[in-house]
Amino acid sequence: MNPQETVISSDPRTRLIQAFRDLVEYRELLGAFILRNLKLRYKQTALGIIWVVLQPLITGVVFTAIYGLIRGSFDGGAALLFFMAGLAPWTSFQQGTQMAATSLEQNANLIAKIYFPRMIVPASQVLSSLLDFLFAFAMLAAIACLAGAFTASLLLWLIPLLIIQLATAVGLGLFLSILNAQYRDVKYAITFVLQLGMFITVWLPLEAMGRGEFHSADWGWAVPYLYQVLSLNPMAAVVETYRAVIERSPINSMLLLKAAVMSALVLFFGARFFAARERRLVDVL
Amino acid sequence: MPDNAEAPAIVRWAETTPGAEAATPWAVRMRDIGKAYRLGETRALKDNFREELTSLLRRGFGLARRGRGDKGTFWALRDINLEIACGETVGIIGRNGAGKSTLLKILSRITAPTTGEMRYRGRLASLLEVGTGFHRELTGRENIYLNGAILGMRRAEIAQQFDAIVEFAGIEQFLDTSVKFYSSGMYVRLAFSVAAHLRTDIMVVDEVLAVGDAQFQKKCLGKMEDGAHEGRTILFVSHNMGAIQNLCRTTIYLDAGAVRAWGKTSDVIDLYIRDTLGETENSGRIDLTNRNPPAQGPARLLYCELQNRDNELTSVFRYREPLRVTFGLEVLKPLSFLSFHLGVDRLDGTRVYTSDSEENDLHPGTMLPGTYIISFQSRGMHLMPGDYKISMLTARQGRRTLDLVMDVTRFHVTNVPLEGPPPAVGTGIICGSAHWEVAPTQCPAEKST
Repeated sequence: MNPQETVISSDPRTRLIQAFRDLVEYRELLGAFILRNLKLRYKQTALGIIWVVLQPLITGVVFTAIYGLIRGSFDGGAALLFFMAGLAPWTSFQQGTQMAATSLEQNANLIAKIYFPRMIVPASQVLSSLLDFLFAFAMLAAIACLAGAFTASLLLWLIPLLIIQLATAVGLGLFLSILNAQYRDVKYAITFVLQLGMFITVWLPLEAMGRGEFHSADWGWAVPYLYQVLSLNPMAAVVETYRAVIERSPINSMLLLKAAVMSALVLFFGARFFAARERRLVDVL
Repeated sequence: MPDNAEAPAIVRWAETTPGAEAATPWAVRMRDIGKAYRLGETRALKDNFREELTSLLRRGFGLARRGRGDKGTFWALRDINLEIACGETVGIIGRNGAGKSTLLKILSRITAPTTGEMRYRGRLASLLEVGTGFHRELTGRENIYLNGAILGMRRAEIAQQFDAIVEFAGIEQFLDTSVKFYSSGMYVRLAFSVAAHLRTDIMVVDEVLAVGDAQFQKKCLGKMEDGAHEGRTILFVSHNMGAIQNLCRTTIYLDAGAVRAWGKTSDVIDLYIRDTLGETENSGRIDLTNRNPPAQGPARLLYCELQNRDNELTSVFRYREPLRVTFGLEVLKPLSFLSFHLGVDRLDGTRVYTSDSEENDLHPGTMLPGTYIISFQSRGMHLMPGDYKISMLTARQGRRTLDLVMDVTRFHVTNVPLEGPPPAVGTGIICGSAHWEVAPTQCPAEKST
């Protein structure tokens, strides 16, 4: 018998190797945490899992109604699809990121008493929002069917878009959770920032801005710059691609590529930021 | 590996050092482990955020700050070098603030060391608290799996042990009930049961045994001992010297962030007790006038003094040093046939010795009202190193109690001899002088040349 040797060191390089080993070692814990989060979320609720569907649906209906009020006359089905294509990924993204951000704080007692790779805590929160997404996505597909807009390519796109979404959410969740461990300001800021993010992602017609549709407006000169900035938002690309698939319009591959790169960067820097601060976590939490 | 040469910080207290059995491989090894805390930084300060943000932008994300000065840092642990053999049960003791919990946190990987390196072989689980990760909303069954996973068990392992865990805790009926409806006893039993069925190579256990009813505690201790027989390494931190003594063969004694002693449990505990005693060491004079309940008889003890051979007040004696005790006595009405009895007990209450003044030919006659000094000096009786306490009785005509003071004061006998050889270990409580003789009965006469 030659048991594996674990090294805990003050030297950063040894730590990094050990961190990867730990993630493999504790892979089952990630599953256990996801299961716990899911079980806990709708415990002692009457509607239970129905909430997962209700939340984006009601928001979508309300948004459609608001849009209708502004426009006067409009195609209700198309508008609902437009908003639902945005809300389905966004709601779960927001849910996952927000839960992840406060997750370390909420598990402070656990973290102070026992070791496991801390990344599991925020990551499990993001991954449990996957269930919300799958329900919301099924609903989106159902609405698309009813509106006669369903295509099989929607299912095809699901996987790559989901990867971008999860990578972004995990990266952001890691960054925010470890920051929130020390500065509780994050907790208050995040609600507001994500709210803002929803309007940017779900309401702004990024595709139209990219096509230069607003050049005639007074602020038309600012649009290309604004577009450059907003297109850095990986979730915007995710939303735009779902919409393009449903509307059967061409997919903006440049936007998608940017999103893929951005989400990878967010994940990488989020994880790095987390890893660098993880060792001091217990001392500040 | 020059391990032994590299461990100058260790006071090897006992003759049998833990590293002596070099054949056994180590399970845990620490080298120059240190942990520093920056003072005044226990909680995040909001006005620190700006500073933090600036430095963050300046240095780029993810770069750890380096080259911190030593200013304002507090070393909770420093230069810890340890090697714990596989299959050993090791106790860790020390006063509050000695670094026990920090060492525990480093051992269980909750916090990272500032300096040095720790290695361990195999899987390690820490039990710093019973029921860590239990969620009150979840059922007993769900909590077993969750808690097991947090403690580092594989799902298959938990499934395999599931029935044993449930049976050990005795909660079969409530398996699918939320633990929030459990009684606290059930909750603790279930939590401990999961922990007790852990099959890790190394276990770090805090004083979690302090919970639960006595019977269950015993059961758990038994389970832990089983573990030690299976070749599991256990590190056990406790204030309960009895538990340490029972469970651990060797013990590490931490003091002020360093290893003060490391060796055979009984020796280390002795040292610990002596240190603790030294701190609360009484001057050797105890006032008895304000005791509770107050003395009521016609003869009352006023004070008690302990003196060493040089007539100094003290509560620490050397081995073979005569014990000198002086009492002040107040007599309120004329009394005759008074006798005094001095008893010495071990701290656990075992009577070691009683001395009766009458038997030692003290006949004070009639004592008129006033104050007196009564002196006692032991002769031909030596206490072995350890802690003792004194009780004093004043009686009249046989054994009619006039004033009895139990546990007047404590004193300590060190293993430093006043003269002659040091005390041998394990030879009882007292040693007395005796007369020995060898006489020939049948012996061939010596050949003369």
